[in-house]
Amino acid sequence: MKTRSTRRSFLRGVGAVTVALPMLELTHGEGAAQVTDDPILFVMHEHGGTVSARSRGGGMDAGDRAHHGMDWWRPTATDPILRAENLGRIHRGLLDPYVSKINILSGVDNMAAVAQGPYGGGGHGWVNRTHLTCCDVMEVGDEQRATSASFDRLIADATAAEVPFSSIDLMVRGHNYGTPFFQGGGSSVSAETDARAAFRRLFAGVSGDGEPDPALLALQAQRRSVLDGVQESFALLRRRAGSADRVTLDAHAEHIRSMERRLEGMGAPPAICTVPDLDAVMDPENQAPLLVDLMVHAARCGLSRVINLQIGDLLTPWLGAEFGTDLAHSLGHAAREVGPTGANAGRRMQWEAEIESNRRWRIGVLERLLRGLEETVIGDGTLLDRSLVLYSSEFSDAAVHSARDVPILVAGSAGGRFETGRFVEYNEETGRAYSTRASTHNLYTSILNAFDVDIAHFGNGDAYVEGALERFVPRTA
Amino acid sequence: MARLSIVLLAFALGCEGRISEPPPLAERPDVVTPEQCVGIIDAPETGWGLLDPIEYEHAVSTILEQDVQVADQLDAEQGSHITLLGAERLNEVAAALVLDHPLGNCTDDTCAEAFLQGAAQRAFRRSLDPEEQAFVSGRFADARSAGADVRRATAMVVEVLLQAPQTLYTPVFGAPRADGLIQLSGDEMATRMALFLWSGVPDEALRSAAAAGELDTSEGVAAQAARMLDHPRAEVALGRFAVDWLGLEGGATRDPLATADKDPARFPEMSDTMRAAMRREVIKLVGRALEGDDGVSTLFTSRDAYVDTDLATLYGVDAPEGGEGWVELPEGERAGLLTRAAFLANYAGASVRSPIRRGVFVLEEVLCRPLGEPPPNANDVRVEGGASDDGVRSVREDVIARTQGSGCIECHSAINPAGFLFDRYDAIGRFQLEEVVDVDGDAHTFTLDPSGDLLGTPFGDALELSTHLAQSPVVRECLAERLFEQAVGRHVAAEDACSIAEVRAQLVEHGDLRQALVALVTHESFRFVRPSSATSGEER
Repeated sequence: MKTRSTRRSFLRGVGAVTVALPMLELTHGEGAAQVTDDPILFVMHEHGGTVSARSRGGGMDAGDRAHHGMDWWRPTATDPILRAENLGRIHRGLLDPYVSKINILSGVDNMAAVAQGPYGGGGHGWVNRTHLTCCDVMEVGDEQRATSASFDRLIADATAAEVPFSSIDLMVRGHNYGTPFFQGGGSSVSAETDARAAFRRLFAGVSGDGEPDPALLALQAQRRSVLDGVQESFALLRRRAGSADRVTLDAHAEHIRSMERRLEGMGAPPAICTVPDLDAVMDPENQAPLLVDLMVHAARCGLSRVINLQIGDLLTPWLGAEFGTDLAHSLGHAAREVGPTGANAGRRMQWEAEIESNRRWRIGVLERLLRGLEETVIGDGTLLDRSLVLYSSEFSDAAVHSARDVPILVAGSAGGRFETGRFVEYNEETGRAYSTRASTHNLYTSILNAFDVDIAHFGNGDAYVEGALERFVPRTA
Repeated sequence: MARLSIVLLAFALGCEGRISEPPPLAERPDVVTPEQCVGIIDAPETGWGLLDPIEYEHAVSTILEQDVQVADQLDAEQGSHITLLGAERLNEVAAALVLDHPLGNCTDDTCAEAFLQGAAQRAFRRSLDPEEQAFVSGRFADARSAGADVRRATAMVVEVLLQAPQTLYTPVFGAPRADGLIQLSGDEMATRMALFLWSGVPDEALRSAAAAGELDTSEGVAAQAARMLDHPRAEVALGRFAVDWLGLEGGATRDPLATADKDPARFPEMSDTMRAAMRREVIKLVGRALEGDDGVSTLFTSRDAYVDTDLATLYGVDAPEGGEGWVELPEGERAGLLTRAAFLANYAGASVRSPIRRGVFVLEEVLCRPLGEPPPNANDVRVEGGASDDGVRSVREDVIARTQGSGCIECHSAINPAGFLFDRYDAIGRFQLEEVVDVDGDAHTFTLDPSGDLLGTPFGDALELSTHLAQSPVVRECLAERLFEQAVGRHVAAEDACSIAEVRAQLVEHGDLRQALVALVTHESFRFVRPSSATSGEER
């Protein structure tokens, strides 16, 4: 059981007031000095699925009964070139400027969930644990646990020694059934939900004038000494631990080392990076853009190669709540109540209005990230070109818990490693029929290969085929 | 040593076939009895525990000998594996804590050394071995020779102690046996008792008892357990148990009681202080149940309530003198936890009660009868009555109409009638005889019928149900399982059969919660663990 109230009560302490953070403009160092040719991975996960009619069996609901039968994610034409006029109802307008730098992949299943979960893969515990891990799920009591890491960790671990933060994990708070991000078996990755706290953590080593501050340096020396002492205490205990507990201790000690590395890196003046101006109340409406700005600035500063954002399944009452539910989760489920024979058939327009503004708001969060990356010019390209932004959700149609044809949008080319501007269809059937051989296993294998993680196949054996995703294979950098 | 093949409360998941009330475990031939367990000790493999934020806060308060509040600043999401965020928060908390703390107020090295050795013992919850003593002295000496003054050097070592794995984890070395089990040392036993009974760490008295060998006997353990249950800190652990059990911190489809949406037009009296009063009331009631000798009956049938002025108004009673205290609730309206505002408001929507959620709670949490994951087409949309093809529906009629389909009715034939028993309590727990369903501005009034059944046994209302639950052996067995889970910080496993048999038998026979808690910690199995050999540890 999640104890979200702890965090909420913390937020109550600082919330409901305007929080002004120091705005520091840093101009020292070479322009974008720490942005290397190495690509940066962004994983954005939207909890709660999109507007789709893809069933758990794969077929598309015809929309003549209780379900609405619509798909607002998929482009409206089969044209393999992605064009603004073909964008689905959730993307249209918002993503028009970026179509040439985006791929939308359709017909990719989360086969680890489909193969293992009850009800044809629909259980929340199964889809969330497998969505980014493609792993076997272990059941303990009434909970499900991931048994291995999400794919982004392979990149985070490989680059940990090169950057201050092995990964940056943020979240727009909202209802969810557990994070899809895992450090390893049974060990999840916690995300920072408070933009101000995230700011403090990420930019603690950045000072205003570019000159080393003697007091700061002395403090850093003491903090290094403390961490050194903590490592020594680990060594004392580790000798006496059994193998399993030793694994736990080693993982913990690695976190300490990551803090040490960051302190060591602080002696040098930081690279050019603008520290964002954070000045807002602490609600999701205002937190989300702040968190995205932190992501952009963290990328500009070269703070990490893996930067993730979850968007909780939250309602967006500030955009109107025409349909009206207690939870966003219920709003998603109502998809199969607003069709012609559904219990809420008469309120279909209200439902469409509310879920459209809600899901478009989330894509708006993505758009802000893309804009920030695109506005950061590096050489003859932009930071977006150097990046790979994966935007997805655990369900296509959340109303029936379908983990088939999960929504996948990939922006950026990871430094020219992927072609962009395409709509890639993996569904081998036409109309409402469905047949595919593509799984998220293959997608992540492709991405890992692009990031120089030499792996033949990511995830368990539930994929249709092993290896990289056809038609989404990285070019050698 | 023989390992019995046993059944705990393991009923098939889901609702295949007709659901009926299971027989008490004591009547089932496949369930072990305490008599069969003589001489049998077992435990599932478990990794070292990691202190959670509330336990850590108590640990820090003990180390620094001063109450501190840091739980809210730690990562509450992590289980037995610390996250990077968790490690960083700890680092920040430790650095902030030492800034203002007197740290022994030492001005010379001898004083500081003595303070640090004491702090390290409190942190590690045991005496230090020579290597650890040298470690503490060495860190202090290093900081001093690097130019830190006495205070700063002391602070740096305390910062280390606050992040050391010996402090954060609950390592067990004890006395390994040939069968792979480890018998806890006195210090380790003290820690295990403190985590369970206090959600914290041992105090000086408990550590002294451990050092004197008093925790090596069940009499000694019982004496300390009795002392600990009388200590104010016990309310923290009990409160967590009650809050966890009632799910007041929220769940997959519910926000926490403290923040769950409640329609201000319908419930103008709902406020943060009201929500806090509801929560406090159930914690106090569980505390009261622990005092009496039939605590289970108290839990389900007592009309005693700890209220403030707002909550008194909700219950329709006069406010206690001084604005906060114990009152007696109206007969015929209230009986025990399941008729209190915290439970009723928690299992309800923003505007309308939820018979479905209340019914599920009774089956899953009071009877330990898991229903399994709802099918994906379980809509989880508001069921609040209103217009339909058959005319205007009451909430009850709407629940029935929406759960008739195949795939639904299998479980809902048990869920709905259990939930209907609570129909006279609205979405914040107010007692009501009628409900009004609004259809486009027209009010339709329905007289509420609180009759229903629990797995085929009919009851007139929640009061009759509560009277039944108070005496039901199945309920006591379930409660024993929940208490055991709290005690060991994990789900019950097959290897726990004999460990849990005794407390289950005690609770079924006497209904005495306090006696059950003492039985749990004095039972021989409470001092044994089986270290983890797998590569992934258990969640705590």
